[in-house]
Amino acid sequence: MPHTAFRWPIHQSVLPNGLRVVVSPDPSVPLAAVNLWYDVGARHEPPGKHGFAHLFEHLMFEGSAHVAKGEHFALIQACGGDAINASTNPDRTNYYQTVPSGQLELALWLEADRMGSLGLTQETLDNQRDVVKNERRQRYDNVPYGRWSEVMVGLAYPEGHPYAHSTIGSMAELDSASLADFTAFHDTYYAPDNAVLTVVGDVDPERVAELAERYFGRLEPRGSVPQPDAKPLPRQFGSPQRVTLTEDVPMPRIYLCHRGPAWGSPDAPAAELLTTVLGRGRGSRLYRTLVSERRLAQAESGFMAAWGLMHYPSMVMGACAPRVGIEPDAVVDAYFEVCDDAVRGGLEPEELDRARAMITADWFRELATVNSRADTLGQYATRFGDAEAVRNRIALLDAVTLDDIARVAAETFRDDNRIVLTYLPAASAAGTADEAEESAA
Amino acid sequence: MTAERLVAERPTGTAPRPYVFPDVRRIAVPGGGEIVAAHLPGRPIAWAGLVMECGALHDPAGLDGLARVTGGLLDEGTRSYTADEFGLAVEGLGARWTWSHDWETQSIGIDVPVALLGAGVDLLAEAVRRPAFTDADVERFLADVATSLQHAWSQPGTRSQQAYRRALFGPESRFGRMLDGTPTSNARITGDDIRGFHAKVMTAPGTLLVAADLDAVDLDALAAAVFADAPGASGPADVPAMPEPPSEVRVLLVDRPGAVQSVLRMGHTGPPRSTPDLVAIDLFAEVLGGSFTSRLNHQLREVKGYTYGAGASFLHGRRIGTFTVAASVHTEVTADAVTDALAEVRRMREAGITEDEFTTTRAHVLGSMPIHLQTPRGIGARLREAVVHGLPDDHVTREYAEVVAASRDDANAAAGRYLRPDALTIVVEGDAAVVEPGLEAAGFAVTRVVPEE
Repeated sequence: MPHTAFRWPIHQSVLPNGLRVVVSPDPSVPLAAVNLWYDVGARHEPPGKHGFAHLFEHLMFEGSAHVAKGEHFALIQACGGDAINASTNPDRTNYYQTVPSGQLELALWLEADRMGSLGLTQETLDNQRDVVKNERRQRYDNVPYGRWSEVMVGLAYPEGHPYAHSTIGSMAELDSASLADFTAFHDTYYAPDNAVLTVVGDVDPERVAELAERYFGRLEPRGSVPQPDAKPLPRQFGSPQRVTLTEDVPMPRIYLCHRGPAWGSPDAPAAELLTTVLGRGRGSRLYRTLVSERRLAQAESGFMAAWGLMHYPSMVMGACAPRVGIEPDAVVDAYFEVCDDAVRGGLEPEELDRARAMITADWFRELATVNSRADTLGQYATRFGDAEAVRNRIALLDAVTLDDIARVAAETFRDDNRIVLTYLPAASAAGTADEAEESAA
Repeated sequence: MTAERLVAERPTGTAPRPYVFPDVRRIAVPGGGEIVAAHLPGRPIAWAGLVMECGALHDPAGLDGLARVTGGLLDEGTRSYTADEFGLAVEGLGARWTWSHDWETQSIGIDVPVALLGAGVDLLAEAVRRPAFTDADVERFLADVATSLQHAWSQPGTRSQQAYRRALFGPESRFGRMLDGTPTSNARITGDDIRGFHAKVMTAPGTLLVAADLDAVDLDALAAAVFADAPGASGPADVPAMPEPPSEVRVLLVDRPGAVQSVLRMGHTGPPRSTPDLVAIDLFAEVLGGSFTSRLNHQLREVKGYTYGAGASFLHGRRIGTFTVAASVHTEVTADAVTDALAEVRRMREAGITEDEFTTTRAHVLGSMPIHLQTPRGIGARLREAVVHGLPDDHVTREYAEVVAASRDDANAAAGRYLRPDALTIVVEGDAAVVEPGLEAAGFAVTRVVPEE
């Protein structure tokens, strides 16, 4: 029996042009969340054009056939809407807003207009290129450790792999971008048959289907979308890597990476439970060992997490910082000892209970708002071709056995599957391993 | 893809339904303590939090950060649980520990599946009423605080914030220093300070906030758990000395050699939460800097490309508030960005907002209210506001009605009264050697400052 966490109906349909429409009514709020997932991300960027998917996402707010620059935000706010933004990650680009339910049609009209047309000028491109360069400065270049995730993906994936570069891209390549790059990008990827439209809230599914047909129905399908060419990756990196960066940082800090299963793959639930037991929260093994028992590392809210990349093998990412007077290598050794212990001795049932309780409660939290619920449905519809798959999440976790976790641990925590990236202060003079995701606003 | 395949005519919608805040129940508990509970039928997650009068203004002289450190240690070991055991107990419920600390109060809370709210509040009571504060836990926790402060003070924006607060409130006022204190002030804190602070101001009953499906909750049991062992008393801290506001624009420059961006903070003091002009202020402030379409973000980001984002806001405290413009801008455009931002503040004060801006902003404020209040924790934050500022239970519903009734004239009168573009304190944290000449050439009197750490 499916878990009751997702307790709302789901209505799915496909327009003749291939646009998938997902509607999940919830009359308890006077709202409608409108969310678009486009199946295009930084992984589609060829060499020399890194950062273009994300810059393009900014340009989608710069106007379209019937909408002026900036007017998307202005019209949504003026109708009483909010929670407006977009984001790009290696896998996908999403666009979203929540409006009073009586304004659903306006949001659909706006999204359809920019799916079907792009009002791009050299001036708006130059402006948003400057904005994105400032985003890069603010998040990467002007902050201590700011480039760690960019360096890490370059180590974790072979050169040229779709995941081997950061979503924000490079200053030089952004400078080289021309108008033609972005009109081609829109023509190639922004099509109804490469998108999922999700609407959640106080809406009637039949009415949403009619409106989707009215606003999106005449847009032409692309037929097929070019996909990145990636050679299959082995389960492990193949050899350990250790990289040390000496920079202007206040104290040593270490980032640790293992190759792990992709989000949505059969081993992903076991990896999520494993990393939650080992690395998430005050009761995790890494916290209790590194902080409480051995006093080697500073407290972190999370020491390890399974990243959710969907299309190729993902990463199990960790971060820690030695306490004052402790050598970085001592923390690294202890970190891997905790990993090795999990392989050798397995996990205790009560540890698994804690992890299940945390993940299940977080699932309720994730589904609590119509905006987050719509985004989640868009993800499941994009990844599995069926939004109903969202109902299986807790059942899949419940089906994971200690043996499954032991196998995933053994495959993941191997000597030939480790990257250690250490920052050292340049002169004697904490963040967490959040996933890299760029936003328009 | 061509425009002919699109629908040219923009659709019109219907007006949103008026927002009504959930029903609130208040229960006075014999012997001290009060419960303020919002009813959220059918919600699987619940939140409860205890509000206590023990904010940063209660920090003793020289020990800035003590209130925050004491609050942070509550779940780091109790009479019946070691720190690790307590963490395991909270996480075993699927709960999240929530803790917010401010100038006046702290709120210690738990976000938990509603069926486990009783167990969660038992843990809350254990942490607040029976903390252990062992020397070992204190030493470990303070070491982590020291390194996290070191990390924070290496980030752009922290040192400028310290300089900004000092300039606004003066070095003698607690408001003139950082909420969390400095690395130096925190380094002075001892276990005895922490135990003493708890005994003095964290043993009063306080107010328990609950945002939950109340049909599934035994409020009396929650009260019994939280308000036992609460014999103390605590109230608002003494009012700190308020400085004379400056009479002219001043630029304070905090050096960050090699920085590729400058962090800007520009502002002055503002009215407290009790101002009758609250809604009028919020309306013009949103147009000036409160959203993506605001004038500041439009000019500095969407027109000039100086920044990833620019904004401005009023924060209304119990006794006083602030008005602050904030942005991180590319180093080479620092002086231009300051000049543009100052011009926007001046333009708002002198000309106010347009009829169109008023109409769209009011619609945005009204329509988006339920979007921001979808979670128990979000509802709980508005309950906390009611308790901290002594507002009626339906203050959010009343606020909605006030926004409906507001006029453009009110907003513009408030802009004229509460913006002081000729007495702004401007703090720039950036590469001083690069940005100083430009700021001086733009006509600003620049003073280099070195914030206390």
